[in-house]
Amino acid sequence: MSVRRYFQDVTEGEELPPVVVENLSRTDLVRYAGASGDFNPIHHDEEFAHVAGQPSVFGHGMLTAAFVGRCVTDFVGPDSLRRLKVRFATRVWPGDTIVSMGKVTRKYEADGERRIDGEVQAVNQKGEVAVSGSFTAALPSRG
Amino acid sequence: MSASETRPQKPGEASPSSARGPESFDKSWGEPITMRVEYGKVREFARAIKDANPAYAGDGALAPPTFLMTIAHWIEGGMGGMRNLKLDYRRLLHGEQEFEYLRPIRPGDVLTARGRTKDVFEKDGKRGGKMLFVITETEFTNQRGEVAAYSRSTLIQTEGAVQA
Repeated sequence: MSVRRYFQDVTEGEELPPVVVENLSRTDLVRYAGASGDFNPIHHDEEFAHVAGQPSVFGHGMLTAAFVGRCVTDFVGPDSLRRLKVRFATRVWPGDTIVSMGKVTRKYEADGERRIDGEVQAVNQKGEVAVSGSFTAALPSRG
Repeated sequence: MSASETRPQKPGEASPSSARGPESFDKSWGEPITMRVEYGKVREFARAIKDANPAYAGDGALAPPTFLMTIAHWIEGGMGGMRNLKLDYRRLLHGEQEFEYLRPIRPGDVLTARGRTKDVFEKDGKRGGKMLFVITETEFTNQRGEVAAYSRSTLIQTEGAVQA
């Protein structure tokens, strides 16, 4: 999980190990609603979703964003993250399997820190992008 | 419409001077609210996002990166954000979300959060109609007076009903 990763250990183009969340359930959505405080009924009330023209409830974008965040923090460590940005594309539905992945795009120094930038995305089982984004992290230096 | 077809290029970087649309909006910071970071809430949130990282548990626990979304629990009737903007929530999409982290956030922290509308502009949708982009920013300052994080949301109001 959180292996301390040093700046020198990372290469541009390196891929972040994917994080897989299988078979997202309605209970998962309810649990996130409660934890986050986002009680938009479109995410838990099936009848409301139907009236709104949706085939069913669908996932909070920020839940998928959190999966993407975990993909990044598993790689850089939670205290190393400096910036995380996500863009929401395709919706996530109950039953979906979401794979979050990413790669390092740049290594550099700024503000006295050794930093990396990277790209991330979360895709569903059909390969459709649910969330895409980018991150910046500051890594410790060896020696 | 599909969000992927109509998403902005780089709305976060749009400058106010390039903004079209709503004649004027209030860019000033709203009244701050206080948000106490609680251990049980951090545990609940980490579980909800299916993240078993030990950094989010025990003494010296950190809050997960997207934990700041729980500010929703501390807001009554919206904060600072979208004053004077008449938005139709039935047509509103959350297009983008950005967090900038300057200090670690841990249980026991007392954060002061204040929000503002950073930018408002219109764009033409690919299938016709105008889309209204609203960028809000929330600043979180900890009990030591240090800015700990910024949260920036891009909200998109579509002309018609939002479809999957």
